[in-house]
Amino acid sequence: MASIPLLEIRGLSKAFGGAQALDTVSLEFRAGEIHGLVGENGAGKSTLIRCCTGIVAPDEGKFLWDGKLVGINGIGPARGLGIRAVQQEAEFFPDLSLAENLMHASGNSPGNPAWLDWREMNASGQKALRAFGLEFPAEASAMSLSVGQRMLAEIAACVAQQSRLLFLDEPTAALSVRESEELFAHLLRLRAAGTAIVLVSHRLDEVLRLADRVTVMRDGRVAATGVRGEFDRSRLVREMVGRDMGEPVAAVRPQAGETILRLEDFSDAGGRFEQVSLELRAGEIVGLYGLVGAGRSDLAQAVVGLRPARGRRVLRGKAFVPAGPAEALRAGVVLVPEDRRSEGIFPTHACRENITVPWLHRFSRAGFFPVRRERRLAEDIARRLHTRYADIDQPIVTLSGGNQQKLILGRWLATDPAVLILDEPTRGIDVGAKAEVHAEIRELAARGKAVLVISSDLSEVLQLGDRVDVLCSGRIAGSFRREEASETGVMNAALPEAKNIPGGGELQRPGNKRLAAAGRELSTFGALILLVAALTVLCGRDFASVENLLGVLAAASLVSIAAAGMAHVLIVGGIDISIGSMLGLTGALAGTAAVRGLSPGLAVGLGVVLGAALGAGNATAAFWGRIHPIVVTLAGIYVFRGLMLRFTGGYEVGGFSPAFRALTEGTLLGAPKVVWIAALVHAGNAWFLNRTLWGRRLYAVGGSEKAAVYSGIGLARTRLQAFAVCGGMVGLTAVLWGAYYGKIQSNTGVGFELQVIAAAVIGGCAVTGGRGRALGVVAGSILVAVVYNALILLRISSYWQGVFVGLLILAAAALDRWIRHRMGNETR
Amino acid sequence: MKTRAEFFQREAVLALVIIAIGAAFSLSVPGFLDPLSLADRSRHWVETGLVAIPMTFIIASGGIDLSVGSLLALAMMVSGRLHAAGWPLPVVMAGSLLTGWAGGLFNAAMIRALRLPPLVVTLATLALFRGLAYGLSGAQPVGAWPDVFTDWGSIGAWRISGGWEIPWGVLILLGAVAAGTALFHRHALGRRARQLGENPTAARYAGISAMRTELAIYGLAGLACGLGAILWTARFATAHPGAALGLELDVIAVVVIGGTRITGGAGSVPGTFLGLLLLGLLRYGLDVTSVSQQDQNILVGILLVIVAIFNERWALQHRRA
Amino acid sequence: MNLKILPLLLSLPVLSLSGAIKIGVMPKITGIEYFNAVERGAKAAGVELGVEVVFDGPVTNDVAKQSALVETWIARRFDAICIAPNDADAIAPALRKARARGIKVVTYDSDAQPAARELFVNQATTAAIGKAMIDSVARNVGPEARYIILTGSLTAANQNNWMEEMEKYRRQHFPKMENLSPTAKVTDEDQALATQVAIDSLKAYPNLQAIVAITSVALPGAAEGLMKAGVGGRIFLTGLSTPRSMSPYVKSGVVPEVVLWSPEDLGYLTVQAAVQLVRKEITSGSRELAAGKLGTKAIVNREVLLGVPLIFTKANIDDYNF
Repeated sequence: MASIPLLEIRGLSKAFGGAQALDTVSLEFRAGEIHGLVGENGAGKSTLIRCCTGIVAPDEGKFLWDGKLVGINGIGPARGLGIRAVQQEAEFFPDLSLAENLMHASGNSPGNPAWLDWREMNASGQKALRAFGLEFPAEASAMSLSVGQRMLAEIAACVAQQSRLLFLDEPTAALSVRESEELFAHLLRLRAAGTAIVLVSHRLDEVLRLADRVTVMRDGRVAATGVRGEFDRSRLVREMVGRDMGEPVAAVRPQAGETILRLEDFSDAGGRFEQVSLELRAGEIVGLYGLVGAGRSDLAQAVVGLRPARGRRVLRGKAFVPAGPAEALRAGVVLVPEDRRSEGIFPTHACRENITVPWLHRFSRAGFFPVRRERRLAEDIARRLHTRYADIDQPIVTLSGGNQQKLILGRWLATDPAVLILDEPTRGIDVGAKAEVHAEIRELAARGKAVLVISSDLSEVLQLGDRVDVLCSGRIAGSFRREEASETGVMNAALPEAKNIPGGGELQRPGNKRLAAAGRELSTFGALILLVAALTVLCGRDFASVENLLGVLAAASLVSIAAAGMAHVLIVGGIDISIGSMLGLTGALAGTAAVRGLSPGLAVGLGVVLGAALGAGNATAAFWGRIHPIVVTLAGIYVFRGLMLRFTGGYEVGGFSPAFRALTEGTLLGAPKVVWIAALVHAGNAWFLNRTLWGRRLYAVGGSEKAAVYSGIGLARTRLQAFAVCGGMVGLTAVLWGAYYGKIQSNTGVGFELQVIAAAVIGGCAVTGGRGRALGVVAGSILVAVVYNALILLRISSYWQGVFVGLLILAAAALDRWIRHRMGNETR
Repeated sequence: MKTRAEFFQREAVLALVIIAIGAAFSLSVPGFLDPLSLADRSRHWVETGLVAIPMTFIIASGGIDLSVGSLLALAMMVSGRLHAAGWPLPVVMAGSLLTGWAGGLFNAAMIRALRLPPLVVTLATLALFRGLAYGLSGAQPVGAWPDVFTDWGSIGAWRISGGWEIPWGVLILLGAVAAGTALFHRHALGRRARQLGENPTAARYAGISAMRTELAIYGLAGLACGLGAILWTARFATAHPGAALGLELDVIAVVVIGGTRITGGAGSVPGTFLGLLLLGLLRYGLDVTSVSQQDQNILVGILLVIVAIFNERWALQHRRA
Repeated sequence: MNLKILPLLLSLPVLSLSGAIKIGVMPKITGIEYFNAVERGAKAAGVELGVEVVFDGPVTNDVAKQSALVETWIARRFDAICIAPNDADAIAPALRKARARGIKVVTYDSDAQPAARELFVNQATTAAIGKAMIDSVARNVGPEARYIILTGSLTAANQNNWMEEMEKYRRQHFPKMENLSPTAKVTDEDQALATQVAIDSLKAYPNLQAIVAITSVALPGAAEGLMKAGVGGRIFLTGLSTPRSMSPYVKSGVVPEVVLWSPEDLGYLTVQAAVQLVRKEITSGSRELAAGKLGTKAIVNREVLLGVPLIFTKANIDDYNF
């Protein structure tokens, strides 16, 4: 098998900010081999994968594919070669079905992109799953699956794609024993079929069992590489840890004092950690070591009340059950979170403001604070921590990572807490800053604080910890006193073995959750039916006559067409509040053309094109100018209406020919024509949203921007399309409006945007993007029309109608929220 | 690198633009600087300005309130009903303020308790509050307000020498701008609102209560609506259920022009005030030069987009450096 | 960036022709046929009298915008302001301010508080308009007709007065006639809403025989509604609107009769009155007004009366060009 390697990497380097993530890495991956890749967290494994799959562009280095030089500059080219990756945290579109997630991830569409074959999509999805021994339905929404299930599904998808080189980043972290075994069996089969597999794992036993070749990475470099026979567990651990210890271990530490915080049988409600017992004493640093997925951060969050948990927390002899960080802070327990960028800093705010967040009240009177004093206090802290900055008022994001971390540390030190929990205090900062942060942490303990340092950096834990506890798969797997802690000992405790892995391996059936998802549309229709029934009882034949009901449908038609367009914009995560004015402008232009003799068909075409152009203009201004669509379309309200009046000179556009009026006038098979047109539009919309790749991409972009990028979906293009379609629908509505009402007046469409957005939201579109259906929009529009109709039939003044519409919107949104809550996994 | 000295540069640019526009108009249009007209004209922007101040907090916190126009009308009609029922003026005014405050708290409670996006909640209350304003009043305006009250609102002013005068409403607005500036830039509330908008997760970790902050800022917006309702009633001698239709659009435009980031995290109350001045001056000047209402709207819309792009670019430049 | 706008602003026409009398005429809302016709008449009078007539108004029927515009006109030192207020009370403070600064104020179409203006140019007496519409219903449906009224907004003074007069006249002369909805249906100057209200009202009042739509927007809207419901010509529809926009409905028989005055003449008369007030040819106390091509009009109780309402039918509707 000593042929040309499938992929040869030469001299790959990549730096993020100041940190060198990859440093001239050269490696080979061969067809028909499993290549084990191990290393501590932050050793550069994930970056390597991201470079090889085109997600990240390397600073330097070459790729040779089958011996030929290739450029991997994007996800597309990587896929073209047959390179696939399953990321550590599988990026998913939560609201879409598994089968569809697989489709977007694959970049192929079953059948024609303009006529997606759902059956085939589901069948091929199901086939891919079943080939992997996965029994859950492919139509289940991704949100309803566990992390492990998603991971397996994604691997199954990659396998189904006939990839030639497959990267798996920690695939077994969330899998049960049985699931892992099944996965291994598949990997062996793939290897036999000639696929190159790169397996990244902390589970050294797995690597030693499966891999033909093993590479150990450390600090962005290849520390060792060779065939499996050259390695055993102890050598792997040695290579991962390295021998150079960086900084000297601190001198003898004072004796620990009384116990401040004790955890007993502390378990996560979500099962991330179980029966953890820990003790933090004054003047002592406890190091908590664990690998990815061990539950370190979850434990830290649970202690301060950010996650629901069971068990006992005792603070200075009293039960400690904080509702959240604010309460924990008052009790003297502080958590410095792991992810500085997303959980710690306020990036564009001044350093000063970032420092004083939790203790602003200390130097405030009735909430007011003197800025000069704040500046002085902040500078004191920054200086004490040896932070390098030019001005205490510069945005914190302009500082290096190490200096940011020092300031965040300073923020919490100033609150003078009794217990300090530091989650990854030195992640992503350079060596010098690291030493300074470490010195600061020791200083804290010396001043009598109880400190818990959570880290996946072994040397850090060993250097700092007076005691070291090791968390493995959610349980304490070892406790060491400083003198007995060794790198290999701690690492051995942290590496899970097969017997340590929790989970019975029984898959939960996602069936009932699917029903809940469908329940959203059902509930709109349910509300509609209830309302219709109630009105039939109240009003009898006045309401429940074919004639009246058709009238209601006719009234709903025009709004529903525009709402169908609005659904596109909402699904993709945008909003367009200019559509009322857009309706006026396109109606006036197309209407005038019709009055001057343009045929009705062409007038419709003109309206659609004009509307689409205006919509596309909104999108372009928003994305080119990088301003929120709500601002652009707010301006559009003014500009479009102004242009309309400029064009008409204030005169109404009317006097349409009978041929033009015949677009909507009269009936067909007993129903008003406009109802038929709306039905046609909604059928087309349902086709577009459900059956075309372009429609489905709206959901992808609106559901998860990040996952969309990983799937190679163009964000700008998709958004432009959504706004243009919305504009086109509004243009169509405008022409039909002219035909239906006989004229376009200066105030035509004023306030229309609110009716349309209300109909779409009541019909189940989420303004946060990712959700909404063609049928829901229809139901929402009809529901609003029925309410209007009912008010008149019940002889309630039409002035009350706003109250009913407002309550309807709130009820619909609350219902939506409740259903998603029931389905779980809601993060917002 | 943004230093303290540069902090007010954006405001300085805005102020220069305002001065330039003002100079251009006063040179080309006789009577533009007529003290009485300026005083009259400024009355029309008081409600917009009053509501724009808390809106700055709301937008800086990553939220939005579309319901302000409707809430102003609702507060007005509640106080109108109280007045029609013979209650004394102080009770009527208190009714207006309380109604506004309650409406604002309702918005915040819906946003937090149901965890709904502010856009959806306030879209709903935009319809709801307006419906209540019409329904409660039977769509009838309430007139017959005491002369003391209406004179105070429509012509009452602090008379300086030389015919110059500042209407009481404008004085209230100036006071509110000063209070809003202090609250936003020198008080925990403004700080919390901005931090909430900049990074809600970090805010939670840092122990900031989103609930309390939102109750406070939406409540303030409601109070501003209640106060605006009183001033509107005094100015027009009528409580009108159709009042302040579309107020939210003007208010949001003013706040955005003033440099508050629509996605939250940054804002400026003096900026908002300058935005109000810019829009007010421009509208006044265009009115005086006989530019029709619709052409004005085109200009204002274009201005809004240009300023928003400028703000974003400015912020980017200063974030990167 | 804003500097780009400046040259544009500076190049705007500066309207300060010294000496010429400036008259501002404000509609309730710009961009509807009725007020477009008023504008033509007002401009014609301006040309005839050699004064400058500015016609501008709010884009929605918003009294606050009207008030702001009035104050701008005060600043521009207009000699007279003619206005059709959206609310009689709410516009009054601004008008009083104008008067306090020596500007003549004339209301037309709809009145403000009498103390806030010099003259009101009334298109026809409210009694005459009310009578014309009730008579039309009686003539076409019968003295026991059951009808409803569609109005613009419940706060427009002229519309409320007409409805009051209609009820008074009906009780006196046709006691068996019935108004099915004592509170008029509101259409908000929105044609689409008027259409929907008309359709729904047919269901709400199954024994309805006639609809009277008393604004120029509500009437064509209601006509569309009747046509859509397939009852055009069977439910009697009449009301106030301009003949040109009503012509198709009158010819097809959906709206057999339309009541109106000439809005062009109304604009013309209003400017005549305003200019003569400015030139001190008349005062608010005068008894009559020589209104150019319209002849002499009486002034009663500070009200100028345009005349009696016109009735447009299939026979004469094409004779009018507004």
